[in-house]
Amino acid sequence: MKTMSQTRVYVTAAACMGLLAGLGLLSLRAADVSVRATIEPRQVALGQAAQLTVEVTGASSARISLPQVENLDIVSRGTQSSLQIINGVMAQQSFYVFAVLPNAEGQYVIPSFQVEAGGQKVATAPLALKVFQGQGQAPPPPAVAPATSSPYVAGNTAPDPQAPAPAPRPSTTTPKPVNVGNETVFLRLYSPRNEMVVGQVVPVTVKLYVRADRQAELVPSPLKFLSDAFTVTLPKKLEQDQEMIDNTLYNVGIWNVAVVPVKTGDYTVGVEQSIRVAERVKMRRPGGLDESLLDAMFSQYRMVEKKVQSTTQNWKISSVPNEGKPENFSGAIGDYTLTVKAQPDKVKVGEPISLEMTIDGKGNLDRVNAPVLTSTDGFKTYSPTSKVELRDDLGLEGRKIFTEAVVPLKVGSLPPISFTFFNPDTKQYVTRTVEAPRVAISEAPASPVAAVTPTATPSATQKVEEDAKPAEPALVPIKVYLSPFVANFTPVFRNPLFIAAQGVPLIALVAGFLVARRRQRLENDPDYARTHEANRTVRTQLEAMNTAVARNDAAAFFTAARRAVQFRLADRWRIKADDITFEVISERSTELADSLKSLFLVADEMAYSGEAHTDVTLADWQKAIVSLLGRLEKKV
Amino acid sequence: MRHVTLDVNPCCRAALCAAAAVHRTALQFGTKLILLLLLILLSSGLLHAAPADTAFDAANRAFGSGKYTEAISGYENLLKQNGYSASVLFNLGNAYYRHGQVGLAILNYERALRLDPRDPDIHANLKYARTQSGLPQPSERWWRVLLKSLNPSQWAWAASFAFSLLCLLWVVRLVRPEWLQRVGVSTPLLTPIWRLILFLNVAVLFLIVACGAMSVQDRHEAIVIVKQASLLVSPFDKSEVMTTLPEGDSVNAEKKYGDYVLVRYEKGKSAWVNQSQIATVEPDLLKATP
Repeated sequence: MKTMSQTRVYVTAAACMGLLAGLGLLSLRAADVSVRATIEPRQVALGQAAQLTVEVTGASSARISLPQVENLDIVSRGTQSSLQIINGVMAQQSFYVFAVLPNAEGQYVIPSFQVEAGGQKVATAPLALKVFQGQGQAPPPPAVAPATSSPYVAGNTAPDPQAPAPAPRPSTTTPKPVNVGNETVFLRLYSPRNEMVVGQVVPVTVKLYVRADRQAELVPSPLKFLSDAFTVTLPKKLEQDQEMIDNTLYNVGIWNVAVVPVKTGDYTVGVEQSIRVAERVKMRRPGGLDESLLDAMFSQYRMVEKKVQSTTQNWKISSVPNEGKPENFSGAIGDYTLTVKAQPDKVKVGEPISLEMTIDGKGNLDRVNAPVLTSTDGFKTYSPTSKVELRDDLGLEGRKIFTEAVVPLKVGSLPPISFTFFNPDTKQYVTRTVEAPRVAISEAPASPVAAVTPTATPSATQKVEEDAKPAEPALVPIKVYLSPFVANFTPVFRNPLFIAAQGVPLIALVAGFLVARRRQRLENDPDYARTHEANRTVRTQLEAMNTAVARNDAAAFFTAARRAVQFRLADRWRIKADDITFEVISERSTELADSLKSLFLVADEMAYSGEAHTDVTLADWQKAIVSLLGRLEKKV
Repeated sequence: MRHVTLDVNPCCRAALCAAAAVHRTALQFGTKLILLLLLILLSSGLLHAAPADTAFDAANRAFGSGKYTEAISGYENLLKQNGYSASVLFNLGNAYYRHGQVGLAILNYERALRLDPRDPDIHANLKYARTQSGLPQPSERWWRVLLKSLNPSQWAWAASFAFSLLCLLWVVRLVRPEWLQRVGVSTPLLTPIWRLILFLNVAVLFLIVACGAMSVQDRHEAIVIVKQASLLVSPFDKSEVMTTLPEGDSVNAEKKYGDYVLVRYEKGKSAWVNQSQIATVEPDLLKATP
């Protein structure tokens, strides 16, 4: 009673303050009424109290109709009020504080209750409270303890405005609970599709429902898919929630998993999870006492491990179609976009360009290969590096960035870049082709010193390399052309063969000197000149003799023969050839005169008298004269 | 048909005519032999080119992927199997630099420079590696820069060619002076050209002598390939340390004693250093040193 009186005093005081404020500040506007109920802490040990606070904003007083909850005593602890005027808006807040005293352990829900304030009736959200046995030093294990280290979140029907929004789930009808043994625990599998292709990443949700008034914990073993046709990626963190099904509150553990089919065929798919559930074990009790009280006093809980299996689904898995499969399809399945950047925008032939190609979208990003240049003519390409940036833990969505160095080998422009994937929604292959960014490629300078000075701008290849190393903008990139090999560093002039080879032109030079010197010496000698001239003339006359013999021209023959003999003898006797007559020959050599008498006689007759010697055999004469000339030359 | 007449000065005309004469001579006498030699050279080159190119590309890809250890291994294997190539040595230098081994990077840049002394990329990276390591940039006089524009072998070939040309022209002038007149080199013109060629040849011969001397000087250059090389008073393990040299610094290797090499690290200053701490720019030079 005393407490109620205090409450009335506080309410009256608050009402008076509100009245005074209203009288004094008639021009001010009153705020709307809102009500918020919270309970702290959400878990308490048996024998301790939780605090229920009803916050009323926008009204000076309120009437609260608290509900009756079995085994919970709710006692008022007082009221606090405050009045604020901000920017001409009057804001009045009242806090009604209650102590919640549990009488037994268990999971309790304080249902929604009515708050009447400012002439309005506002309903609060239901509140959950867990009561456990103990002295309150440490809370017991959570009702559904995940195998991972994620914190357990007890169901609080009053949503926390700071909490993140729950992950979207497939819109399916919440199933009715299925009793497993004596406990109400069940497992459900939700898939957005029943037909999929090998390699496709499919998001699947698995929910484990445990009735809120049951204590349960997960066995530390992974969720098991009852089929080997998939690889499964489990989440790092198990999400938890509470759902009300047929006026029964359930704690829900949620796995958002990624499933990738690896085999084709029709499969019946289900999941299985082991869980330990608390079962009440009745003990012997003295007779004659109240049974409910005795149950509470003489019962204890035992954790029983159970395997919970979901209902099954039929999934059909096929491979990507061969029909219409592009040549450059590399296994990417999903829906993607392609963007390309290039740096720098001006290069010279031989300088690398760094292409950054980003594949963004949903699908199996880990199996996405780099986009390709539609033509590599005139370009030298290198293996790209890649990095993946995922937007979720399961790798369902994100982007993959490829960085590839391309070196232009001639002036031109970058070709378009294409990427092919299979879209499982449309069941078609899609090729995304984008125009490469414009990069001005110019001829390499004849003297590229300026382009490679240490202060030059970092090249594209360098940027590719910088994934592993800090930026070093001045190092000139590696060379892409192989220069000739040499066996060693020894200068060629140390090679004996090279040294010997230099003797060849030297020997030629010496030989030239010798030849020239000899020639000069001979040219300066009149005897040599005469002999040289005699030899030349004799050779000429011999040729004339041959011609004459062929024509049977005796006159020409004997004229040539006499001339040849004259030159040969002139050289021998060092006189002029025209001075050689038969008389001169007779004076100098009777033997020679005998040999040449007939020759000169016939020649003179034919030359001066015109007598024709048709009976002469020129061939015989030729032999004799050649023989004679040979003898004369030897004697010379 | 349109005829174009060019005014060519006599020197150029003579040179063109000489070239034409040589060309005709080659066609007449040596075509088959040249073709045969070319075929042999080409086939032998092709036989070795394909695997070397593949290995080179593989090492480059490893480099591009940031796998510097793999790239180093690839380039080293290429050198081991095929000999020395300026581009391979340059890339190896880059790989070592990226791998954090500045001394070996500088060593390979120096080696690449010996093979291709006019490559600006090698000069740039060598300078950069030295700068990043806090090493001073060697300042060289203009004539040394000029001499280094070709490596000793290139100078030798240039001199050999000039000498052969000189001898050939001299022989022609001695034996067949009418050939020179036939190609347009008149006797009055012959004398100045002759003197010019003689002068150029003497100059080239002088250069090769100078280059040879410089080559002997630089031939023993060695690079410190460890983080810090200890210069010792004597070639023994427990000898007193005189001073230390940073990685990438260069010394001149003078002689070897056991595992130690006597190096000249400053003008007039010598000390002993463990052979494992340095590497000569010309590979295997220390092994050849008694």
